[in-house]
Amino acid sequence: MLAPVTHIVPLTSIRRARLLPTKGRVLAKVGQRVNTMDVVAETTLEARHILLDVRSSLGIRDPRQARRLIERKVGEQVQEGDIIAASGSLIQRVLRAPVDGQIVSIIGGQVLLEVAGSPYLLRAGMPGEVIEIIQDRGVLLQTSGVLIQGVWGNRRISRGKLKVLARSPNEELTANQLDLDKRGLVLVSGYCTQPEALKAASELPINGLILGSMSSNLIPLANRMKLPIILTEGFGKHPMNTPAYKLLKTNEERDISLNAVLWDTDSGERPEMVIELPAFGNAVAETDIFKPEQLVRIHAVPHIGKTGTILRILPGLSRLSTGVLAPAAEVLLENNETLLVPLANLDVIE
Amino acid sequence: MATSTLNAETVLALDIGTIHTRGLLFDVVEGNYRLIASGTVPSTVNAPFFDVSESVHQVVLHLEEITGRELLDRDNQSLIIPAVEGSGIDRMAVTISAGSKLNLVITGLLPDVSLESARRLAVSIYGNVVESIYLTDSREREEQIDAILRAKPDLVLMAGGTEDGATRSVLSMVEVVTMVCRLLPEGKRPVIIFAGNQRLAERITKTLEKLTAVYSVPNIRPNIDSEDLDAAQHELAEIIGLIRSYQIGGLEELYKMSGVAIMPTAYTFGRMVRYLSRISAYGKTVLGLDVGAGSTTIAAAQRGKLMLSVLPYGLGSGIAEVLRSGTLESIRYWLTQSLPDDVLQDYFWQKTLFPASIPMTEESLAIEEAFTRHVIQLSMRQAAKLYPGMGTSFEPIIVSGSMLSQGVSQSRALLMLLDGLQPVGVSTIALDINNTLASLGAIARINQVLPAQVIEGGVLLNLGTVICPACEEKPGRPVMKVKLEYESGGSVEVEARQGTIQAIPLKQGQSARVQMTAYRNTSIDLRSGAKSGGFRVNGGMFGVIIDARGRPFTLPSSAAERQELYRGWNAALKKGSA
Repeated sequence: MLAPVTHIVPLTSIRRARLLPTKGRVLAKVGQRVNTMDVVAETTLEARHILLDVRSSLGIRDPRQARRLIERKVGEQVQEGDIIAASGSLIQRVLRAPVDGQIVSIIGGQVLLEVAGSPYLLRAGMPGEVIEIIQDRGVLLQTSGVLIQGVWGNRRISRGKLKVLARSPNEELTANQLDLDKRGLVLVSGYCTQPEALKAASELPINGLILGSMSSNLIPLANRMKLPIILTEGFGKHPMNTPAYKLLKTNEERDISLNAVLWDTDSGERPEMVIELPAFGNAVAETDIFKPEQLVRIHAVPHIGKTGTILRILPGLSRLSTGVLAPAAEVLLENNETLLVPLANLDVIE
Repeated sequence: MATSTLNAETVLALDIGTIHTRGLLFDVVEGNYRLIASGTVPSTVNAPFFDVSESVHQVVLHLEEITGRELLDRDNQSLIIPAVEGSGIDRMAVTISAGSKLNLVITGLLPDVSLESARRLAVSIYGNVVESIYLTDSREREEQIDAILRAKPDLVLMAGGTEDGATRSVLSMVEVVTMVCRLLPEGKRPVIIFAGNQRLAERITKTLEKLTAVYSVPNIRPNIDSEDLDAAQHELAEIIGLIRSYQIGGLEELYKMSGVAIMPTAYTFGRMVRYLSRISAYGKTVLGLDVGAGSTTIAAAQRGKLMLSVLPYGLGSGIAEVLRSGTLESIRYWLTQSLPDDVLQDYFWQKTLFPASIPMTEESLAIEEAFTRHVIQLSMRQAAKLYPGMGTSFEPIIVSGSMLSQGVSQSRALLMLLDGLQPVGVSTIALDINNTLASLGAIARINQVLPAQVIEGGVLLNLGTVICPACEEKPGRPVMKVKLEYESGGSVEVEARQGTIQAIPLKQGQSARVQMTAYRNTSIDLRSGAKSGGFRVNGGMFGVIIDARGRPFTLPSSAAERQELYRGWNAALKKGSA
């Protein structure tokens, strides 16, 4: 059976596309080295439109006549007060641009003026080299290093020196752990349930937070914060999976990049952490099938964050303790406990 | 093209969902079409495959394993079509519910006339109505343009103008849509579907086709007093299939192989429900319910008139929409375990990350059951708002979706259905255990005999016949008397009491005559107010069930008390299967 894969890899080749949500201007060049926070492309979002009716403004009935009186062309930039159209009569009446903007459409004596929206900056989200430009949309980046994928992010990007705060993957992040010497660091902890801890992290500020899990009632607060937060397991009070914790621990003090996007199953984009290393790694497979001896992670209660090895895949459907029938595997957990787990509750760690 | 049974004997149906891809193989067994194998594998629509071919390949391999029949040509890894000497298939039908939900903008003239019809047409597909524009809309035109642009529509559904009716007002809507299309770059422009005054269809097509794809479908409001969605629904379903085949890898190849349009699962599900309503002897409303991961489909049909609603509530990716439209309290109302709010909320958010996950503990199963009840109730309420004539009395009720058909024991599934739907009157409830209904609806286009024979052959599991009186008595007081006279001889008589569920055994294959007499403050049929009646009934898994809990019924506020009640109701149901 096909298996979903989560990457927790000490060294791999990482190739990622960074794309604008709409057409824009690509700033980076092929071969250019970029850092996590570098802007690689830009555009404007949510433009506003103003419809200027030449007929009613100039008191003309015939749309063809109105069209002739328009002095501007589609695509032209105008400034506030510029004349858009003028009547040729003795007492001239004019229609002026009410604000700065661009004429985007002229239909039947009506002029549509586009007023620029807010700028949108597309950041690299990881260090690397630009290996391809995607015209008007973005870039393709490549690097080598540590790659850890998460399951949720608060849509922020940052980087900083990695510090593992938790002595075990199951330790809770508390506000009193966040003293001044943590400023500017990317911190790792087991889970977080207290809004005070997030607020303290934001006030210091630290540069990023990697957690196993977080109470879902902290989502609105996390979404308002400027620092990136990535969860490796999900929501609740669950420990970080051991492979991710150990990998972060062995890379302490290194510079880590956090691209805390939301997991988009349509595009496959996931929140990710990257530590660039001066070594070449091979690319890892994005797909697999379930088989014995695979390292797997459970993502359903009550075993969220536990990892183990598949002992065997049971044939057909297995009846779970709840009475539900599902394809399942026997998994040997790290504590030597053997569990019957539905395949739907597992992902392969590669 | 219609195909006779002589040249279409082996039919493969593929249903491609976001989470699962299902394969169903039908063939002639002893002169009649039967379902001979079914398989389910994870879908490969999304990352990292972005192509349905892999999951189709896997599910076909699975069907080969079950049947021992060769379906794939090993040399070129494609399906063997047509069948040769016991290998391969003759025909194929594909349905799809996968793909990101489409953003729809609807336009109409009057909000309670053409716009309302446009809304009903829009909810027959997997989409969200994100913006609506109408004649009396108080916003300035540029505000309407910006609103549509912000909504990022995939589709603009335009209604308005009865036949030979309004033209100017419709054209003013077209102007707005034209401006929107001009502002968007090519490739980002919405597909336009015009379902209004047909006199304007050609003109509108000419205006807009320079900018984007335009389809004209029959007027859904041919005159002010009548609505006709059928033809437009069918064409819309084909258009959606076409859009999906451009969006999703591997679908176009499937279309070429099958030679038949790929249709949305919800539409073909509705089509089958409509067919059942046409052949129904009772003339009552047939109800089809399909609870999926991303959406819930309610298809109600009476004498061939279909009321189809695809609601954005589901047990996987549809969770977020459910949480947005209600409070945890309304889910907790059904919960049989005492759990704090944060545990419940964490569970649901986790499920949005891993929508295919399966409950591993009684606690998580209880959460999912409570959630399913809420989703069914919420969907029924929304569907009833869209179609006020839908009513609460159905015969039969047919239910699809993994959670109900395979996720829990059948007695628990039946209780969930009774709670969520709260039907009134007499209904037979059947489970579509292999989720065949939507596929049969798609196959009906290429082989009209197969769906009828497969349904007749017992592909639906009859859970039983439920008698749900509308009763308002004190708990424990008798509300009605039910007598069952077995055709094989013997009889049973029970008195139903307020707040109880009772089941009288009537095994599958058996039949009986039921005689009901309602007491004071009880009626069996809300519409007619009938106090007594009799009918012949066929056996089902739990026999004849009397749900005398009242409509609506109230559950105790304590989870422990609710658990006790459900334990009792579940045990009562099981007595019917004795």
